[in-house]
Amino acid sequence: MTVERFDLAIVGAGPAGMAAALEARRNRLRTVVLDEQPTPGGQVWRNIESVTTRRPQDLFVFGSEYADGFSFAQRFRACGADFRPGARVWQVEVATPVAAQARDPDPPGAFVLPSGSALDTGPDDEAVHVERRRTGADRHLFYTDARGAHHVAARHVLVATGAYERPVPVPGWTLPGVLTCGAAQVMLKTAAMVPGSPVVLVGSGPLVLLLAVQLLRAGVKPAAVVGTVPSGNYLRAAARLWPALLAPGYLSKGLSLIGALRRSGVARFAAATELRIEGTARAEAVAFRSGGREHRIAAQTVLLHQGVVPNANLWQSLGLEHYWDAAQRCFRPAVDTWGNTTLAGVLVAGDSAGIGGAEAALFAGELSGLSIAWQQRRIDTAERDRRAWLARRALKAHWSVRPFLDRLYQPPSAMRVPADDDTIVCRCEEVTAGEVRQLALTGVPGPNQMKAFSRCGMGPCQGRMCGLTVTELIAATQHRTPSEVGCFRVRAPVLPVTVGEVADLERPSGS
Amino acid sequence: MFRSLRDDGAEAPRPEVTLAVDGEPCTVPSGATVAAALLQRGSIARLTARSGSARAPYCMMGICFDCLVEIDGVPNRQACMVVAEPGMDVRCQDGHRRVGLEPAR
Ligand code: FES
Repeated sequence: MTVERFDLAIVGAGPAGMAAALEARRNRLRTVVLDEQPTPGGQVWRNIESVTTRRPQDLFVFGSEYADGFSFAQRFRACGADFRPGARVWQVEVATPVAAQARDPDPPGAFVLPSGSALDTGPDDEAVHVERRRTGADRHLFYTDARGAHHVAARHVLVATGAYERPVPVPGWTLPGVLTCGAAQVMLKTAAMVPGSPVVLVGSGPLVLLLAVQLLRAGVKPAAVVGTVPSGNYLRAAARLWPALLAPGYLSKGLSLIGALRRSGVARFAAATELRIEGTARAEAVAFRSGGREHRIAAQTVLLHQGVVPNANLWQSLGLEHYWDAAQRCFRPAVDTWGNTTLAGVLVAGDSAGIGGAEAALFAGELSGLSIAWQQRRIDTAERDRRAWLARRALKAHWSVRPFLDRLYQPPSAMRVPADDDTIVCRCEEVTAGEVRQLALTGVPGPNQMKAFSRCGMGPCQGRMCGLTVTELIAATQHRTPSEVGCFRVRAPVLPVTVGEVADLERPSGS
Repeated sequence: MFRSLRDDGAEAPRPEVTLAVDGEPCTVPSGATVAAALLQRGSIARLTARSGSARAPYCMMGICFDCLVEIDGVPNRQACMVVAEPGMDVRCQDGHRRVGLEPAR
């Protein structure tokens, strides 16, 4: 079997992956970029090339931040990286065994981030020195595309798999007609389709506001926007307002969206609790409490959102050191300021390393690209640090809004730990909150044992939809912290592959 | 159910593809996924393994696997990750495990 070799393999062609590719190519690294989608842009700039060139009349629906993605995608296309669309990576293998890492004399403090951003420490060359010694070894990636399974090798791997929307385990969330807000955006971007009325948006986070305004621009007036931010969040967030004011544009953009929504006359509800979606064969209505009253709003389409969480499966499958971020309510890999992880030659950048947003991801990707170029001796330390200076400053500015946003939009516990026993937690295997809670009460110590007892996390999504809920449910039931409870142990393949596809790998390529 | 942004008919039609969903013809803009066709028709993607309840696309980005359908006889295809092509035969996937019965297909 012939294996193609590269200096750098990037998984994900969103903002972080594209920025890293641009930087790597500027330093003449042979770079391959693998992405699941047919075109570059990630979810934030999904289908940007086609919308810009074939239906420019729709660009106003999405706003200028979306339109900005076009020039970026153009630069990415021209940068000389080998872009492979429709490629789904299901395994990354590292030649250096994890056990060897543990013996490393590295100061562990260089990697561990207690909370928040990766930017509180300066450039920590110590951590990267080790990488520089070891980059001779190959990392192996296995992926499937329309033609079958493939294998590439690279000296460095950058995981830039982005984020997905936090699952919203509420009664009725599995009914047809219930989708995420992001899913409705994908429909607008890729199919020029809008949800049938009446449509109700439920949840919290910038995307709820953005989508509501985008639907209005597209001529769809939502029947209601139901907010779920508990009133206590405002106080907690207010304490972090000052640094957020320094972040470029976030607050003014948010306020202008809120203003547009207010002027539209769409019915709005705040601090909704006891949310449930009613219906038999399909979603028919959203029921909730708000302002001390019960409400029930008829809906054909219900769009849920509780923020986004790292798309972590690939880096989790590598056994990287990670930690629980109590503000973002998710697990994040321990990375240094360049995105280097505890595994030599493997970096994580952008939202898959912790939610910082698309603009932060651009700068994080650039820094990872610089570090990799430096580790492969394409640039010297002085040049790396000179080039990194601006990116670091910009990254820091973008991250300064996060403590505020993380606290303002932190999902209420009822959205993370379902109170109602019949609520489905694992959509694939249809495991309910009651089953998980019951097992947790009998002493099942963690998510992996929970998997064995209940089958939660064993369906095709491999725990992407239930992982965080199971961790938080066990923690809440056993009065432990999510950090103590831990997360599912993810193993390759991280996506379903057929035996036939794996067997095909043995054939010489091209046959 | 989803509908075209251009239901007013004012815009020139873009290239489109016609495929079959559960035996019925369905037309979506070219570049749209099979999941978009399902959502346009209000179709079910699959019946779940444990209870046999109906599921339709939820995330549209390859994460949830609730959009699993059978395409041209091949089961377990993620409808939201497959771009619709002319003539595709898309069918609801009956994944319901039943004791004592032959598999549905
Ligand atoms: S709709 Fe979620 S995987 Fe296709």
